[in-house]
Amino acid sequence: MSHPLLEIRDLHVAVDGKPILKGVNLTINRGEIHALMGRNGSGKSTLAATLMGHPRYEVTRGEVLFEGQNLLEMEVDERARAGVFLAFQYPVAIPGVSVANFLRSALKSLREEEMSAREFRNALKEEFKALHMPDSFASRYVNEGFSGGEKKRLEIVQMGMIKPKLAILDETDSGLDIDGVRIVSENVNRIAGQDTGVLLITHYQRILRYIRPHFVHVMVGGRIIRSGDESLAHELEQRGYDWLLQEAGAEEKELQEVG
Amino acid sequence: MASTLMNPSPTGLELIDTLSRHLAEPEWAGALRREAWHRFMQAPMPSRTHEHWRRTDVSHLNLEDITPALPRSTPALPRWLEETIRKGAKRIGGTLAFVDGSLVYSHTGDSLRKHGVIFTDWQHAIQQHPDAIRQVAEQLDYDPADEKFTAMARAYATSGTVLIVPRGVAVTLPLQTFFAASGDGPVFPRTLVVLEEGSRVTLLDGLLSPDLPARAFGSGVADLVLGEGAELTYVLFQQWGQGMEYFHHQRAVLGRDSHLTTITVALGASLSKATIESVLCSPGAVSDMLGVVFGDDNQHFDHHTVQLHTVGNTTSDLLFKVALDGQSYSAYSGLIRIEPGAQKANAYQRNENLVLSKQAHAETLPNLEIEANDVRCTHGATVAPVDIEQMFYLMSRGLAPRDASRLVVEGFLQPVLDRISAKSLREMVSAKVDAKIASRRA
Repeated sequence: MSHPLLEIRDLHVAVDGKPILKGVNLTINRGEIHALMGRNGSGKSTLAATLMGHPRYEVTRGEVLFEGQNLLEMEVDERARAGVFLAFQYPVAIPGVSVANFLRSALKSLREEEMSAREFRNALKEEFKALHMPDSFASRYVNEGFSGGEKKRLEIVQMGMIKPKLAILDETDSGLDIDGVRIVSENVNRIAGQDTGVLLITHYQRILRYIRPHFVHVMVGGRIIRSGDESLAHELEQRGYDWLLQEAGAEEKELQEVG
Repeated sequence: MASTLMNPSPTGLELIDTLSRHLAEPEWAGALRREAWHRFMQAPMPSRTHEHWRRTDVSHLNLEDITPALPRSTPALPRWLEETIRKGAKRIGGTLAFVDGSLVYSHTGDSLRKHGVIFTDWQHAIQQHPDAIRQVAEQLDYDPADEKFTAMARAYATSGTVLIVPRGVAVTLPLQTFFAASGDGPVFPRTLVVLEEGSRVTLLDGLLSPDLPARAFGSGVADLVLGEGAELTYVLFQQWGQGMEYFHHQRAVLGRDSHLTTITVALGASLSKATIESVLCSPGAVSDMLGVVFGDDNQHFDHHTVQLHTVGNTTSDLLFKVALDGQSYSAYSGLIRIEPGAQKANAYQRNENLVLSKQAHAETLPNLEIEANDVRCTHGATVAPVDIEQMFYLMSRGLAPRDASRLVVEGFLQPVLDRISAKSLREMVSAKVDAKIASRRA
């Protein structure tokens, strides 16, 4: 176990030929919680989608190792089987496919040993209960007609069923009310336990009251310009982002480039 | 063994009379058979210059060389069909099964007989209930575009399903019929359903065979007659094996305040062409037409639907979903026709196509003929590949691309299958659709 869980080295990513990430470096070890903060358009979600392998995102330079393996060579489903999980910012509706059917198929693909139908039902029930969702969601079609908050909770239900090694949470707090943020956070903490690495992407400091990060990183213009501990998040809350930009000498022009 | 009527080759009409004699048909039934045969001989072979036949080439067929087999004296129930019946839907009110036009299995519950429901094969029906059948059979029409094939089916069918539900009787358990082909000769499935006033029933017609070693031919016809206030759910489930080339015409005539739900499920055959027609000729009639097609390999499907409103205050709704993989092809064409004076008619039509491979091809051709001015009518059609965001989401949960697209297709088709209200049939049909999707060939 000499390799870190995730190592991102000098990662450059383009979308439709336009550079978005411009040299990201980040290492996450097992059991560590990293918060990635930054304004809209700074490249946070691009990093999340790239790590999961979205076909639209083109890696133009750099490498990503997951437990020492080249993550970028893996297909999306291979990454999931390796232990990477992405809680989507905008979860996708799959009409006609029930949550239970979807998750049962997913677990079949992810695990070598198949769960019995009863084990599966009970585990799913537990997760719904933990996320304060009624069981009836099991027979609803995946994300179809769900409110924003319900979609976000369902992502964490899935995380609980899947128990990944690395959980990337892409703005899981947006669209949730105060109770929602608390419930989701408590469950992320429970599921992550001591071993899961967490990359928590957020605009806001409020979720960090519940999920306390070991490290906080600030992304601007497709790069991480500052890393620190929890206190960095507090400082951002107090002072905003502008002082950081000035300190880092980041140019306004560059900010506008990535929109 | 099936004795085919090829040798010594009788003239066509002798063949028809031999069939009638062999089946001990009453005079009127023989006359209808002869009329059908004359129509068959006189109708021109369709060609691709005809709009209705533009997307399906039948020039390789020599229909006049195809002759029916006489019913077998000791027909056997093949094991695969026995399994289909045994492992199929539970809670069924009655089952009939035919192989190559011979009745091989019949099971009907006592309550059907007690309530005077006739659910039996054509030959028994015309012996035991000649007046009831004759009255309807003599009124049956021929659609000019499909006449060659429909007339052939009526001339050559040696058996088929007859279902007559008397006034006011609601049959609670669904009924099912299986038409099976062995590949040894052509098949001519025929169904006649008559619902008297206020009656209600669900019937599934299953067209089934294993994959066939050589090319096989079939032509079938289904006539559905709904009396005042009657409610019929009719499922046509087609899963012929590879090698089958099959033609079908279904016509429903809807009486006042009657409600028809037809669900056409097409999974099988190398080539199939079907017309599904609802004639709304009395006020208050409602027709819900649903379709599910899943094709793979080199399959060719051609479906034509007709929503014909001859009078006003009638409603028709249609949802036809097609998913294609491999090099399969589907043409869907749908006609809504509202005749002059049919005011306050409502007609809706929607066709959605999901294309899984670059080699598969779907065509959609809506056609509206509206000759009344106070009507509501909408139609829509889509042809689209599998959504990459859906694929990404599913794959991010560990599903391999093939499993991810399987789920998307199942989900795409499921809402239509959910409209089969009889749970036992819904589960049976859904399981067969899912099995075909899971084992699809590129």
